Amino acid sequence: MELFFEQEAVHKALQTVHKAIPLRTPMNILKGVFLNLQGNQLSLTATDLELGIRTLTEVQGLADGSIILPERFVEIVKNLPPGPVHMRVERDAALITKEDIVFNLQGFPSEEFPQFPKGGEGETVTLPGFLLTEMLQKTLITVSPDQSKPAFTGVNFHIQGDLLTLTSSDTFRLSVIKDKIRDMEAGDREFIVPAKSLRELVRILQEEDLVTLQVEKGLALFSFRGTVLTTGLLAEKFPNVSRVIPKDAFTRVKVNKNLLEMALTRGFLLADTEIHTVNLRVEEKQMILNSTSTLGSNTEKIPLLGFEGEEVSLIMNIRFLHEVLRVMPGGEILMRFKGNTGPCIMEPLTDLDFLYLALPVKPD
Amino acid sequence: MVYNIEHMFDLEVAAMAGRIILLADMESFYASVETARRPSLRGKPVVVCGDPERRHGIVLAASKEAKAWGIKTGMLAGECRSLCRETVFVRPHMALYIQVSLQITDIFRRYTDRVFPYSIDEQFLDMTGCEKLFGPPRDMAALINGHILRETGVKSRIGIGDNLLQAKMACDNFAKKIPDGIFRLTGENYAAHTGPLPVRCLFGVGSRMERNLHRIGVITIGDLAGLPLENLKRRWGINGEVLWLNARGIDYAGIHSLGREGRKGVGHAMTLPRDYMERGQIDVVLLEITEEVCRRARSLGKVGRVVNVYCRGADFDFPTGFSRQRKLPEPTAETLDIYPVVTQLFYTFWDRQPVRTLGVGLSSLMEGRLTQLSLFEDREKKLALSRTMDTVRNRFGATSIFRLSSLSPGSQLFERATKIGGHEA
Repeated sequence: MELFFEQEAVHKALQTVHKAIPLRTPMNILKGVFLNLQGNQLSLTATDLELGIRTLTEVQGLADGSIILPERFVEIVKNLPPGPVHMRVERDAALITKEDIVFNLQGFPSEEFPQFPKGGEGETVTLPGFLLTEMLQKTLITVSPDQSKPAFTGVNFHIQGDLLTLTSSDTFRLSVIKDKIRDMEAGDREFIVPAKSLRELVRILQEEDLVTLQVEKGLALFSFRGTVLTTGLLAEKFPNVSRVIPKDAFTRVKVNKNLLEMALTRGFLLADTEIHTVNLRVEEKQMILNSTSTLGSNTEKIPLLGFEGEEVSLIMNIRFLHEVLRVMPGGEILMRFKGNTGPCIMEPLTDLDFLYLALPVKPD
Repeated sequence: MVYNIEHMFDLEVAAMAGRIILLADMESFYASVETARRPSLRGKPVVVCGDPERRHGIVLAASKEAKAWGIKTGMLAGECRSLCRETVFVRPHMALYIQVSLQITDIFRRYTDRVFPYSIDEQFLDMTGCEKLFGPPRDMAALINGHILRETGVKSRIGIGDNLLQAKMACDNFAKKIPDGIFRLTGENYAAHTGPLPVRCLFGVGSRMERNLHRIGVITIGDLAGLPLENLKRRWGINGEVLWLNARGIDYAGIHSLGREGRKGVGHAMTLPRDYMERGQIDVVLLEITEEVCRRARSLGKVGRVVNVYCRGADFDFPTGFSRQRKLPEPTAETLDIYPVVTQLFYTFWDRQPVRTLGVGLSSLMEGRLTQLSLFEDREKKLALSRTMDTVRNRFGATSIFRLSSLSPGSQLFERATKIGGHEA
């Protein structure tokens, strides 16, 4: 294997794949990047056997071949000056030359690297990168970190005809977002993708990418721009969430998103424990927020832009209200309540079909 | 004006001088209580010990006469017999010892309102400002020692100091070793008396720390006090600083705030009456221990964030075991929230060898007044159930309501219910 590559291009490709390299693994060969040269196409692959990322980059190929290079290769390329770099592989070692800089890096024989799943016959769904990113950002905030509830550690994908619904919940909160996927008839499928893989996907996905999603045999493949991300699916069944979303509400209010977000940011300043709560009082003209801790208390009043129903007063984990506002589109939001111990539902007033629900805290 | 940090501490010592702190320690407490109520035992090598045929056959206390034969707390009954054939074994009566300990606290309260029990047989008394009533510190101590002996038949020793640490050092290293059982350390004489003592005599130095200190050439308490503070801080951080302060007779935060207050965790451990090997039986005991830990947390109105599981193997010659912890996703004090984490931790680290002791702890405690409601389970119902079980138990006893698993082999619930701290009540 011998080639010339541009430092910038391979550095970028390595940034795409390197997060799939496992932090701890008994298999040394996984702690590296698999390189394969065919003609002028260099493919780079990393995997922790759960998440795998492969990306292609254009190089000047001199002799086809492959090798596994250790994670240090990422740092080495990052620290080389820009411009063409020469690399030649002989007996499981790479000789990397850039003008007067020479690295000799010991690698592993490439045959030992696990097979990368090939997208096959399964049905595919295509959607724009910006849309998928937006849908994922809104659902990833309510994924549970608790490994003892595996179904909740991922985002549930539900495809019904041309409708894609993403759902996630940490059992205290719930996010549901829906969108039409054009030109597609993909039947009815439901599967849970681990949040860890989706966070990587959001990291490397660009707005203008067109993403093809394919699901088969417990695997999902996301393909875009010469890059393929594969991930194992969670072998779990996501609970039916429609029954926990109340159809009716006793209280409906409209509120300025920025005012609410700033008030909650200030409420956080007095947090003295991991779970800081805010007392939320919804009256006809205004919403009163009061958060109290051993450090003191903070009171905020926010005018309401619309009010329907009856007054409510509930205690919420302040983080559950605050986090979602960052990903809420538009300047105004709709909030719905169902009594003092019922859920608080937040929805944008744009044409985005997004619903966020959080349960309150019950005092003793 | 520039103060160097060590001078700052000297100033602090000067400010604290003038306080009079006593630590009263009961000699061979359990054995003394037994002797006091059975005069026929007086002068004999008495050993308080559980059933010598069972696991509880470990020495809990030994009289002065028994100690003279080399018998020590923690020995097995068999070992005592081989050291001294005349050993008199007495079964423990924990409820009685607690009662006598409380009686002694009452006696102290006649001298000062500032009494701080430190353990069942050690209590601190703040006698500052009582000189006009009871005379100089040594006279106070003699008065109190006589009073306790008269009313309870137990001999006490008293260490006196300017602070809790000095009183504890005076008691452990001097008062216990002299016939009249009274010794006073002060800011002025602390260095002269404690300096020549081996460093292991210092409060807070265990066998491992002693080894570490020996390695850097610290043999006596005086050696430690003479080291630059920075040196110890660099090596052992805050722990090093505390030892350095202890070596100079400076009490950092009142001997670790006298234990109890502002507690950060609750825990419960159980030494089993026989070795446990079977999964089902271990599960039952783990559930019972978890229930007890959660009940204690709930009675304090707290929830916890970190679960700890402790296990010790049965083989004395190859001591095995572990202590591992895991953070919970949500703070809780619900038995059935914590139990799955306990078993998961246990079966991850258990080496499949026979088990002698099991323990569970819950720490990172915080106020538990608020309950985060959940979408897919009825938390309110769960909480109401444990609260009801706690109420029933508090009123009608620990065995009045229990989980069905406590009827299966391995359960310790009914046997433990009649005991205090695992010993006969």
